[in-house]
Amino acid sequence: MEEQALREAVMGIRLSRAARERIVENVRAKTERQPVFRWRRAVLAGVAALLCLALVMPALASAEPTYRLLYAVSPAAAQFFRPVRLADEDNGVRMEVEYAYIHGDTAEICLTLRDLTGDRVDRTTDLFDSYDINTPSDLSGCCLPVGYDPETGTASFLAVIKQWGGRDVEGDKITFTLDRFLSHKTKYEGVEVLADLDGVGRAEAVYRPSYVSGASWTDGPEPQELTALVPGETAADLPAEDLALTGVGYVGGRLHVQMSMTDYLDTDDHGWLYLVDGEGRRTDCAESWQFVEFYYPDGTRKPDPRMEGGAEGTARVDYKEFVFDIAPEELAGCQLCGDFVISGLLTEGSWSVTFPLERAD
Amino acid sequence: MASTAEDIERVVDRYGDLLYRVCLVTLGSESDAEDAVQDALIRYMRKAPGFSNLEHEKAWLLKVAANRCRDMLRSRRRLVPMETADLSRYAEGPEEGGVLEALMALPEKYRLTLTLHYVEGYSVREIAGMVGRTESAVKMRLQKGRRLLKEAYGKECL
Repeated sequence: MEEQALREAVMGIRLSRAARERIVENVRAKTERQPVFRWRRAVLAGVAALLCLALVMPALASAEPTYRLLYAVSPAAAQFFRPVRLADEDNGVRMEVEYAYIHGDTAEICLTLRDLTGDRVDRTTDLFDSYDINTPSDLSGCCLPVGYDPETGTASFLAVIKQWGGRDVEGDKITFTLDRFLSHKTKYEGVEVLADLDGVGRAEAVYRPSYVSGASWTDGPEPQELTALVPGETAADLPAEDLALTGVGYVGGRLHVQMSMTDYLDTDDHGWLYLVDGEGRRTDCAESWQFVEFYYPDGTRKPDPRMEGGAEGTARVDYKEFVFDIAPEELAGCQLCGDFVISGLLTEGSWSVTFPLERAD
Repeated sequence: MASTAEDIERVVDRYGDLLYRVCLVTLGSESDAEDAVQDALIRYMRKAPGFSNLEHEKAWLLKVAANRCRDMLRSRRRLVPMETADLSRYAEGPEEGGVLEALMALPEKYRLTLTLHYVEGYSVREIAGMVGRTESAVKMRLQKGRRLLKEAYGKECL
């Protein structure tokens, strides 16, 4: 299609006069300033003070569910957590460090996320790999979801940070930063991806990906090298648009099934494929590999994604290749099924809280 | 930020059509698009930062509108898809109508990306900033969106 045709068609979309007038009127009604007379300012100040008080009370009350969640996870440790209550807001989302527990070389920090304008924070909220913990000394840490309080719409997380070498962390300052999170995730289990695997034959084209990012296997020695299917298109039923089945075929007597993830770094959408035979028995792969390719805008694959600085001018696609030890004759009557986790929403912002690691006892 | 009636009229005159076409293409519903434009303009009047130039102002408004559309899509509030007859009101002729119909048949993420790039002339990098995705993801959307649009247009209009 000519770009010009698209441009001309879309440029024809214009606000009607009636819609324009409605918008002007509604925006005016909701934003026009009202004059504030001097005598009203004292009254407003009093109201503001009352409002502050009213707002503080629920904030304090909202700490309770978080504490209860902590207690449910670790009753022994929960009693040692001390309030911190430092917060940062961006993009309508509030991140608050609520409690911290400092002991020896370990700091445990309970933080919460709450959407002040909508429901972007839900029980599936995941900080993904988008948080960072900065300290003046060498620490290692992780951050795990603790729970979700539906009444306040607050998701709680527990960051556990350890000082290298067993030195006490007390006295240091720590900065917890977050730049995005995922939420509204949906799990799909037992999805029928390909109903009929009869007739799957030898793969027509294979190659050796040069940028393998991970491998796992069930038993035996670590597999040394992947000979992968050349990505193509296979009609299949996958629960997200950024996931696709890109190949099924035998390579060296083993069944390879390949799935692409075009938005993996942003969505974390992923899945696990397996076979189910006619009697409902499940067979998992013997090996799974993950690799990355970069494509030029015309669709051609970059020969070696590690060269020329990686992704400049190209689009990244992540692949997962599942390798099954199953003979073609055993495949008759099998279905290809999958379990998937699909993210509904990526929220970006800049949240940062710095606080001292002080022993409270 | 002042918010007199004249200020509002000025910003609606300058950006109203632009925001409306992006919101309508994204949401596929006239009433929701109108709501999204209104919400974006309210946010502009209340919270707009200082802009370095008109391009900056325009990009900020587009980003706010795109975010609002995304929120509305997520909440699935109303979102009654447009009928072909409604779409044809915006088209000058059957060819434009066919293109619009094909465009509206695509998933939302492709519609928005294609519109921002090919209609509004934004670069991949600028779109990535507006829609909160990586440049790679935007490129993939453009690539796949082009293909899907060609397929949809070819089937129904050529």
